[in-house]
Amino acid sequence: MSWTLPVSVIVSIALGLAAPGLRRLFGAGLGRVLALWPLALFVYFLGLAPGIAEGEVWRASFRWFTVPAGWLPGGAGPFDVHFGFALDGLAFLFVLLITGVGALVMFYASSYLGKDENHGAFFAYLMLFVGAMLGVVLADNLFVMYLFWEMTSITSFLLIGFWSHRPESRAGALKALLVTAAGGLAFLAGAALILVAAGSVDLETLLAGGEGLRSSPLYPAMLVLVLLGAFTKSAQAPFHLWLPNAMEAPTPVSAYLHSAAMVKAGIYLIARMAPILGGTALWVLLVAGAGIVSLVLGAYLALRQTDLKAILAFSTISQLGLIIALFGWGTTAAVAAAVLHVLNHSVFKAALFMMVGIVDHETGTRDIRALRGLGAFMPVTAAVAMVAALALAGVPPLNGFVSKEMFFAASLETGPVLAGVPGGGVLAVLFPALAVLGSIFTFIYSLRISHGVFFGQGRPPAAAGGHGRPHDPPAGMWLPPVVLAALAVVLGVAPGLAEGSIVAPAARGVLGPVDVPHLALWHGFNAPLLMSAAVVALGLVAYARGPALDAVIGRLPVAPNMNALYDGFLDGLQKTADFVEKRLMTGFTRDYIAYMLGFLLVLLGVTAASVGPFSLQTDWPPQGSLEWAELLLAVLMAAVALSVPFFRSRVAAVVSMGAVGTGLVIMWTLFRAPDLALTTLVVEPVTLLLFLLVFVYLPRLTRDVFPKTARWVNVALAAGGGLATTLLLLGVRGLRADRTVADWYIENSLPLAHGANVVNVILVDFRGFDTMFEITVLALAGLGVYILSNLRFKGGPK
Amino acid sequence: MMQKTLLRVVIGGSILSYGTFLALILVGGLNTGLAPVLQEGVDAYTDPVPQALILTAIVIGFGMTAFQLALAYRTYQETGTDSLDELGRDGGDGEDA
Repeated sequence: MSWTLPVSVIVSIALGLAAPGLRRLFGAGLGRVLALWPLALFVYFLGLAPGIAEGEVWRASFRWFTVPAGWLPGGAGPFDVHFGFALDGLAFLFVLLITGVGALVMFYASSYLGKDENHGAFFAYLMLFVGAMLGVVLADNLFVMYLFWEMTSITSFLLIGFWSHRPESRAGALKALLVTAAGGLAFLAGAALILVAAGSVDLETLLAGGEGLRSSPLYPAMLVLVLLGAFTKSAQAPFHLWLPNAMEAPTPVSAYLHSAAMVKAGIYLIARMAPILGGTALWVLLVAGAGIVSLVLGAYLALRQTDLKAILAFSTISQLGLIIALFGWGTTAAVAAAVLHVLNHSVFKAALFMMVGIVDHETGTRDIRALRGLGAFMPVTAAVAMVAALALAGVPPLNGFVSKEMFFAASLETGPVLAGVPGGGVLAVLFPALAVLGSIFTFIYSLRISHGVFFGQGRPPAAAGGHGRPHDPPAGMWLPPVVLAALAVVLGVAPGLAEGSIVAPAARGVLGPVDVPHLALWHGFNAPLLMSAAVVALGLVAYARGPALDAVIGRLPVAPNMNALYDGFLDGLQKTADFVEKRLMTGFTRDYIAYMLGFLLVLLGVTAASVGPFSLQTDWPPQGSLEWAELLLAVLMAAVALSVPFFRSRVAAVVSMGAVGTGLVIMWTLFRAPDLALTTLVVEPVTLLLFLLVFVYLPRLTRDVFPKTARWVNVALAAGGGLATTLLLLGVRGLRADRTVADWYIENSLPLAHGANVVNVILVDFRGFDTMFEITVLALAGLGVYILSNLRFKGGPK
Repeated sequence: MMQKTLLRVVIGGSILSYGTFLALILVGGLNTGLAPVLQEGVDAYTDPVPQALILTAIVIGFGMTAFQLALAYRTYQETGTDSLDELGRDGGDGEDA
């Protein structure tokens, strides 16, 4: 029943929002209760497996909004955008990972977090994150996917920064947010380009029309933008900078975000877009290139780390690179290996993170130089660590071995894919070589975090808190990783279990209806087995000579990364904001006036430049008539007004102002406005009086000293503002040809309001409420004047 | 209004409002009929709407000027300066505004 798709997302989000309230009900057991929901979803979705295996697709769709015609460049449209969900084989695999690992992580986190930590907030973020991830993989169009995509960015920000009292946590969370959200915007831009080119963002439509998209002139741009989104999310080189810092998160968060969820969203996007945008030379170069570089670089950087979690962080970059390289190659064998490795990586990486959390919890350190011989005290944890790490290293009979063999096999068969790619001949040799190199690095650090920590020679560390020996944690913490480790063994020994129901449908979701190669532990003696043997042999030798290896690595340069760029960007942003703020918010009204006038002039100038100058009404005499007396008066008033700023004498300045006011009275008389003339005649002397009254208490005017440039800028702004206003008025004069309102008032003044003076009638009758408020303003001003002149501040002069 | 002396700013504001009145009456069209006081046998009046607007503006402008003057007066009484620069420095609002 397809309505379960939106329900699974919505209920997850609702539970997230309700979690802080549920905390009161369940206390510290909240996580275990909430874990039941993803568990229920896992069981429910697993029940759909037979149908999915036969190629069924579950759908639920509602109209969301319509893109109106003409809104997009090119004039296409209108389009409906549906809030649609769909579950096919590919989404099915990710849904199982999100819910399955999610349930285990919640169970684990419930024990991991101390009793006095804020369980309500933690599980709220986690549930919201689960909902967002489900939304990403179930979305059946790109805009819906983007919506949930950004939601994962925000919730992961909250999760990584959960210990917000630590500055490192905050910085790590911010970095993750900035990098992934910037990538998200790129993805949105890519989706918009796809909409322009294909006329739809529905995945079903896009799958049918991939051919057209790949030949579109916009194709390179949309591919790069979409890949930017995926690479930032999956922490691929060179955008991997956020992932190591994200290790500041509580370990259960890392276990989830960096094994099954957050980083897998990028993988999911690439897998989704592979049949639509994939298969071109550009795709192979970008995707396989970034993947293989990340594989080697991540594994190499992992060798340089001593912190268990840092090693796992770089390991995640590296393993995701492996998967992305496989999608880049895009052959049937490669895609089958990729989806299998998505599953395997989630299983063993989540187990490893949980193991690290236990070690950290029990010993209080994550430094592999201090951690030695823990196996004797923590047998269960040691078993989990060995199984999961060997799976990561690709040792039989564990699940990682199966997918790594397939990866090697796929790396040897890239010839046909690379046929049309520039430099393809070199790459066909380079790819397997780099695959083996990355795998050797992987093998070495895998042993370091498992064998070295639990069986290495040396003094085992004391338990956290200094009492006695470290020991295995309570069942709440070891049970989830044991389940995952057991799964790693089962999927290794009998990979066929996952083949028909999970892996093959997922691969068909990318490839279409084809035969997917059988999964098996034993493929016979062939080239991939030889490569595996080489990895194991060389890895063992290098691991045994650990100090020598460290010495060699210590002399190699640290690979360049984008941290400097990121820090510089943040720093620059801060400085720019500071500069702008200091410049804009000066606290002086005159500066604000200058900015407004300046902006107005720029706006007018730009408008005039782009649409051409507006026409000025220069007919003479203008509409109606303008007599010489009026013109003369206007010139006189302007001259007097202009002289005001130059007066040194206060009386002269105020009298000039009064002269302009008196000029207005004459103006009103000439322009047939008796009411205005009368009012001005009353108001003007009172204003003058007020000024003169205040004079007694104000100092004499002095010359305002401005720096020379400021003075000229002010003069230019004032002159420009005046000129622009004059021109504007000349432009709009007489435009108000429509006299409907005026005639209505004139006609109805007598019959409706029984008043002959139309202006008076408008004020006191037609617009009576306006006048009432006007009087209120006046009253308030009067009150203000009264208070100001009578109030004495404490201690002020009387 | 871009000067530094309080009094000058107030005067500037007044003159700016005079200009606004003139602009309003200009937009309404000049001298296109008789004053809008109804009389027998006359049907060409000037537009009363701008006049009503201006009348309101005059009153509000007067209120504002009075308030500003009182404010300027009190400011000088309290702080002993009528220079906006000094006021900005003393008030320290240039930094936090």
